Amino acid sequence: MDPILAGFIGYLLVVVIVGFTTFRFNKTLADFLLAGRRLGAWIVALSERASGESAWLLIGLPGLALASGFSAIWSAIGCGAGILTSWMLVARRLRVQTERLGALTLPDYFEARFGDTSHLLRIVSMAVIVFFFTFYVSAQFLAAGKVLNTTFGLAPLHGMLIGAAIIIFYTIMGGFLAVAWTDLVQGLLMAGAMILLPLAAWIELGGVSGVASKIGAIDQNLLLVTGGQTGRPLIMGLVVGSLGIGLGYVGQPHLLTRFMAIRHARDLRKGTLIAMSWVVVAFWGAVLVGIAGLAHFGLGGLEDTEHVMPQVASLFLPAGIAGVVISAAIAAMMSTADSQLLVATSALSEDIYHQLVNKEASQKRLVAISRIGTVAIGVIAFVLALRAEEKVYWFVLYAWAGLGAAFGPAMVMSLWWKRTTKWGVFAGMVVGSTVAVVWHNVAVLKDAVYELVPAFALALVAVVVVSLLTAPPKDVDLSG
Amino acid sequence: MPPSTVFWVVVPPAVLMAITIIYFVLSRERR
Repeated sequence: MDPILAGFIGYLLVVVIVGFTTFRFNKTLADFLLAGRRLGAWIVALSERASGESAWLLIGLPGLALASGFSAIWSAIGCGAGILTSWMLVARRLRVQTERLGALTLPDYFEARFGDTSHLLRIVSMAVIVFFFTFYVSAQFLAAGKVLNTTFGLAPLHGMLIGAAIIIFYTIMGGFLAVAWTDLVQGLLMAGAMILLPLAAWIELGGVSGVASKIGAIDQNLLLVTGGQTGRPLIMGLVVGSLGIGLGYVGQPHLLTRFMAIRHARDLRKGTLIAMSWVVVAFWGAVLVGIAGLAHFGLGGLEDTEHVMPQVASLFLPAGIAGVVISAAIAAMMSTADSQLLVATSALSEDIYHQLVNKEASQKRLVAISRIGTVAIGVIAFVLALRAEEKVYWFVLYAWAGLGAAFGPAMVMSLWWKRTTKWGVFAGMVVGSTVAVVWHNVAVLKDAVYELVPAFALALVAVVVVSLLTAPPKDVDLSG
Repeated sequence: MPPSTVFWVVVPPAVLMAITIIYFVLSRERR
């Protein structure tokens, strides 16, 4: 059998077994949505990391380095800073607050934090989540089709069907626990791949001097982190735009829920250490893989720059190991899609059904409703992926910026500033998501800087200004 | 390899890890 296929099938077997073994642990909605807040530091840290990075990290970032050389490092720096900020500023306080307030989801948190009996914050945040995440999951299914197509020559439709069916299966079976355990496997696989592959490739290409001389012969600018740019394009386009991606982390519901699921808040400090070690290995590894590809194939040497990681793996690693490394890209996609599917599900089962329709529903019924919701959203996302084709892929950019700007400033301020009011948070959510979408659609603005930067900044201003203009809230205990 | 490239590839991850370790040590709960 093809070793790559064997590696992939072995990997799929593991996630299916996790689905079966975690099934019986889901007795309450808190079990299904947060694994009963019983997870340890390792599993939470690797789950947050594996869910946070989709196939973009292993496919897109090496592709960027292949096309632009060392200037791709800015994306790694921006993401690393954003992830560290999220673990240091948000994780602990969110974990403590959500338990104190009895919140299972972000809309639960915002409603309880501000005692919002009108359900305004719940409805707005839930709508933002359902809207962006259905497209987000759909884009991941499309990516599954693309990766399985290029790796095994499967028709894209079949690849999408296989990817979607497996993700939906183990999410229904095991809920958050299955998702977190598969994330652990996927996170380790992604990090392992990004240690092994750049090492093997760089040694084979003659080490640092060998890679530098090969790239220098193509274009000296590719060796510079400025990419040879100066002035405004350098500062706004490259540095601010790339660093700006990192702003999104503090507002992504599928990552913030990871912090809520840890057993003890004190374990989050160990989690920070694990997560950041992963970041340094995986992000820098991904850039170095793309650089190795650039040294070997040259500019324009590959028809599709996003094929660089699988190509470098096939060239510089033994076939069996290359199979496992390429499976890591599929793992990256699946670990993101399952977490997003679960967050969208929680919006249906907890935020709509439990809180607004049937407050007295039994736990058994709520878990059943969640499983039905998972299938429903999975199927809608799949149909969208079928119909929208490539266009959905672009929606990932909106979704990252839209969610990051809608929830990021509202989240950070609600955790750290007692003066934040319900109307401030409402304004932040509306301004953040609206500016992100509008900015993205106006060519002049979009070319100037990535939409998340202005959307985040304006949302932050909106939270602060509107909070100050509205009546001060009652004193709250924000200690974490 | 230009020195500025070596700097930007090596120093930022070292700074991120340094902040992480300082945070890890300082956030220890005092009993």
